[in-house]
Amino acid sequence: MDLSKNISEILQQYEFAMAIGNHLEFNKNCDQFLKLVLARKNLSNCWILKQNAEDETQYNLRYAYPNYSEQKTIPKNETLVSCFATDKMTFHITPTTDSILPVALNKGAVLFFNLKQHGGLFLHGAEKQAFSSIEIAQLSPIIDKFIVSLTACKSYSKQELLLKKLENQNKELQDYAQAVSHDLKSPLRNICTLISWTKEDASKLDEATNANLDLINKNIEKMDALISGILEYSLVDKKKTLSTQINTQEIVRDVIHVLHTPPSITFIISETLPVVHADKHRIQQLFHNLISNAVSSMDKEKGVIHITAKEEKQHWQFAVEDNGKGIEDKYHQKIFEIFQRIDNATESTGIGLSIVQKIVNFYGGSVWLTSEKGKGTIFYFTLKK
Amino acid sequence: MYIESTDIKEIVTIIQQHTAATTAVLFVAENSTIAIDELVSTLQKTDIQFIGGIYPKIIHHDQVYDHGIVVVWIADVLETFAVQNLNHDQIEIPSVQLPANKSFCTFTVVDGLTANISNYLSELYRNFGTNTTFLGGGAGSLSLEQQPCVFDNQGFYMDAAVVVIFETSISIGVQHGWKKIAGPYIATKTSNNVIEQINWQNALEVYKETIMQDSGADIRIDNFFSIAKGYPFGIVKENAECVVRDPIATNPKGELICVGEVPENTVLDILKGENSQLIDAAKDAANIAINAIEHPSQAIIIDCISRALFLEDQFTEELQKANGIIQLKNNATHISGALTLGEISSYNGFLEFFNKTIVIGLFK
Repeated sequence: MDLSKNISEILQQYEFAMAIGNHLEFNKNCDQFLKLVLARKNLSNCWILKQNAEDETQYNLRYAYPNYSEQKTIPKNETLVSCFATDKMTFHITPTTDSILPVALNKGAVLFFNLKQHGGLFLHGAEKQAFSSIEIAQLSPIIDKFIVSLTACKSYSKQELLLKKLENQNKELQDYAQAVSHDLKSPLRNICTLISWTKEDASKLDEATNANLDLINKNIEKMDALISGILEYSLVDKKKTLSTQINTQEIVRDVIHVLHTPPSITFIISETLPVVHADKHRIQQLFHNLISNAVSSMDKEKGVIHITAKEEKQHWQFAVEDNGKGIEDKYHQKIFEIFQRIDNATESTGIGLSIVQKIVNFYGGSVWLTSEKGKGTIFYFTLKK
Repeated sequence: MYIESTDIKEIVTIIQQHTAATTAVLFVAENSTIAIDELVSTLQKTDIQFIGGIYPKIIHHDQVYDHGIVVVWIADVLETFAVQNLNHDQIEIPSVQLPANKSFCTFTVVDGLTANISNYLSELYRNFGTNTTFLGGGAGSLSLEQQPCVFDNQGFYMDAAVVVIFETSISIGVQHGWKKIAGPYIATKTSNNVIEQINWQNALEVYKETIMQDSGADIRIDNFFSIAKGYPFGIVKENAECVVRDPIATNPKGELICVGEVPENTVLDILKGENSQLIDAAKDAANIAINAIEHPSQAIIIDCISRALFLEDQFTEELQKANGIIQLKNNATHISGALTLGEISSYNGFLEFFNKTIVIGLFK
């Protein structure tokens, strides 16, 4: 027994096995493995055929190396039928078998492996007299591994296709939201202008008409806020971000300053509000939506809003607590969905909390609430450290 | 034809006299005193169709020359083209239809010091496959300093290859004669032509140990080439002579730099050469080629420069013996060629880039 030859053969198997599955793209995976097999075994050609799903009389050429043939399909014939009826077989090229070849070949031996759902692999040695049974047995487990890698390629290409589809749909949605927002806002602005011109001639209008015009204006403002909200919501995780160190205490103070809240509401801001690494505009928007939500929920004579944070292992947990009307249990999930709002909240656009959830999700955190009807609500959210 | 003249006008006139309906393949010796770029630009201004390369030495019959030009005229040319940017992953090979009922040879001269020669040959084979027989060699300087070394009617290039495809009956003989002394090993970490690890250990350490056991010589950076030229690697192939990879240098990290790519996880042997075995291999290559063709009229010998460096004075014997066999069949056969940085052939199947090998192509 030639020990050195045996070791060489085992290492050859190792080399083949290591060349499989290094790429998830079908052609690259085939290229890396099959070119190595051709080189090391001194073979000339290889190709993979698969029966056409729509036309049973044709086999499609899925891969070929070398690949100079114009022929992309091969008509069904007896040799192909007998190949695909087996797991593996070997035969000589004869005038009757050359019909299985994508290129003109007139000599040598062919080795076929059934790749199951992926078709069939043909290896051809132009100078080869025959493939020995040992050679076939050695290649068999390697081909089994190759089949597994082809399945992975198939899943990958499906996933890539889905991702591409999703990307396109996302882009379409984004474009749609932007177009709609722009197209809707423009007539609104025109209506606003027309109302203000009409009101300039108020002397000619009676009181009821004036009141109706005010009502129209109010509704226009609401619709404008709704459209801005939709646009903001659609862009929240798509806009380019600039992450920096953000002092959340400063952000909260700025937001409260901008909100112009009634003097009956007191804000208590914890000294422990941390510095986080995020996009300033997003964090501003997050606090703005939660604090304005707390302000608008206030029904007490003396309103108090607490903004606190506590440090957890992986993240910061923030809380915005108010002593307002509270939210019924049935709304606890629903209010984070777009256009969902509490029945009596007619001023709300139903978008603010959806934006909050989208921002928090963007940073890998979560948002939830606890509430007691009549006593108040606490919104919690987490941001990774 | 061997041209000794250094006068560019005279060289061009000589070539012009022979080029009716043919393409001239020029083998230029690197130590020629001719201004090669001037020669190329002068040729470009004529109607001569040509491709060529600059080699460490050139061959005409059984003589090796350091200076001058050897010219081979090729008829029935289907296509000539250059492939540039071989050091990049994406290369473009033009599509050429080769009728299946005819016999073709694809002769290529590649910059032997460019990266990714394997990728170039792989793409060449993908495009033309078994419709043609391949033959060629690596051009470049023996100093291993990369510079423009291949040319055609359109330019004078580095990191490029030039190709001529012509209709002919051809037979090829490829042999090296190096024998295994140790192995198999696995090249467990490589990067193109650099072997970083063998059997998961520092490549130089493993290589050094084997050489020490065989010769007692302690291999270091400063004496690497003088010892390693006698101990190349062999890439194991089934039922065929292995493909030789020539380690030409090492570095302080203990990596081995080879001529030609060694893919990761390649199974390797360490080989050793005896002068007589190498010369016998050259005779075998000539016999294989001569037995596969009737009435050859032209021979191209692509022989590795490192065989000449290894065989030293006995290299003339290798060339004389190969010549003798070819001329025994037809003493009118024109024998031309070069000592190259790597040899190219599709002998018996897959297209390969060899080192330390002799490739003999015979044409009708």
